[in-house]
Amino acid sequence: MKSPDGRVDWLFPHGMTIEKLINDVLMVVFFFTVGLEIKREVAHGELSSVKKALLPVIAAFGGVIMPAVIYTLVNRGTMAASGWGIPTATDIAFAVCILSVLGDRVPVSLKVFLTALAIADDLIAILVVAFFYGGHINLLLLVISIVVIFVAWLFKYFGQKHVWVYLMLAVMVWILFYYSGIHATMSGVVMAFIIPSKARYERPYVLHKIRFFSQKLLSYDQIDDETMFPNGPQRHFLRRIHKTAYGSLDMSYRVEHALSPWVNFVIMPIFALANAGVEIPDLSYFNIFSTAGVTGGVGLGIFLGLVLGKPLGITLFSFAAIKSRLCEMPEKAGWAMFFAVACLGGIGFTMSIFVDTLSFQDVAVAEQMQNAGKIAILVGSLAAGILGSLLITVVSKSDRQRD
Amino acid sequence: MKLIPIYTWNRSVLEFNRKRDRITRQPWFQGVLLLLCVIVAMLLANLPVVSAYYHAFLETSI
Repeated sequence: MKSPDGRVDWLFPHGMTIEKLINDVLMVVFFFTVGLEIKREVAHGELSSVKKALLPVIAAFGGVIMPAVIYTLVNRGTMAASGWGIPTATDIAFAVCILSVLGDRVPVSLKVFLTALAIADDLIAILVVAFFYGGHINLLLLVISIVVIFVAWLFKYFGQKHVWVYLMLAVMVWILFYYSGIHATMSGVVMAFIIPSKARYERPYVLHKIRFFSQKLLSYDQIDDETMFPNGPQRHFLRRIHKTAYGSLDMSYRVEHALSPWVNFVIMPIFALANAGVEIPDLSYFNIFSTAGVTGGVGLGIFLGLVLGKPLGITLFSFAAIKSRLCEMPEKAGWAMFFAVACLGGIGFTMSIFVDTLSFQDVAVAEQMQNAGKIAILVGSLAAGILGSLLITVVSKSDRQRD
Repeated sequence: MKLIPIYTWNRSVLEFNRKRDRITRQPWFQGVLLLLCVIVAMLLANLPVVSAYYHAFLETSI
């Protein structure tokens, strides 16, 4: 059994550095919450029915295919060709941030559309990472990891409700994925789909119990001193209410709710601090339009993919789907506003940087290419954000004048 | 007598927590935080005083 660098350390993976710890361990938690989010949206949210999900999913495919095609056209036949996955991602945090700053200029239906699109986009990015950016696969370990995942599913099937059981299995899956050549972060996504999303108690039971305990709580309110709250019996019923409320929330929700602040305010900022720091020896690094030099057209491919490919892909695929009556246009939205919002899909940032760190690993000038890629992601994301914001402002102004 | 300063301190902590929660729950907050992190990372990677430490730290073996 070998680690990606050919050696094994059972206590801690060999060759682990702070940067790898952030990208291979902390990012598992990020991908885990992304998986939970996708699962929730598929079960109850914007992707829960075919009718609702079709437009964002088709648009997300367009937003992945078009940038990948543009990147490949720019870099075909060169060492940089393997980076086609970099401009295909959308960063939901930045997109939502800009939408919230723009306020009521964007119709609510398009805000919902962009959020659903970003989630569908994340799912495609996960598949891209899993299938195209892993290492050499060790089939034996892969089979063992599938067995462990099956065991986790059996635990779920037989109603195991303890988080620590799934946590132990998740660690095992992470180790097996790490050594088998599949990117270790994918273990987070797999476990997100495994952990139970069914609450321990059913709705009638919860409502009955909460009502019963609340009545008891009130009935003991004035047995001795009313300033004494909670008194002995009340403490008992408050504990029972707490236990019932806890059991009425499914594990997926509880875990997602507990992890979200850590992911949003600790893990993602740490990831950005560790990965966005690109050393720029001279200003020519910012010349992303140059295809000369060792990095070839990495920068140009990513920039065009994000700024041009994303909005074009999203809009053209959606246009085809709506005109063929497969889907309906989001309410109160015109094509100009649709295109403007689609531009925000070009903010790749986190996921793009993540794919960038996985690309070009077999290339001699990998570091330079990754750095050129990061600069292009930052510039491209910034350009897409500014372009989207400007277009939304202009289109909403003209819409209001027309009204 | 000693209870009053403790109460005042507790209240200021509670108010601070409430303000912090109000800001962090804003949808724009995460984007702004990430943007700040990018700027800090670029500075760390390129300022001659800290750049060597920044890269050495990231490459530290565990």
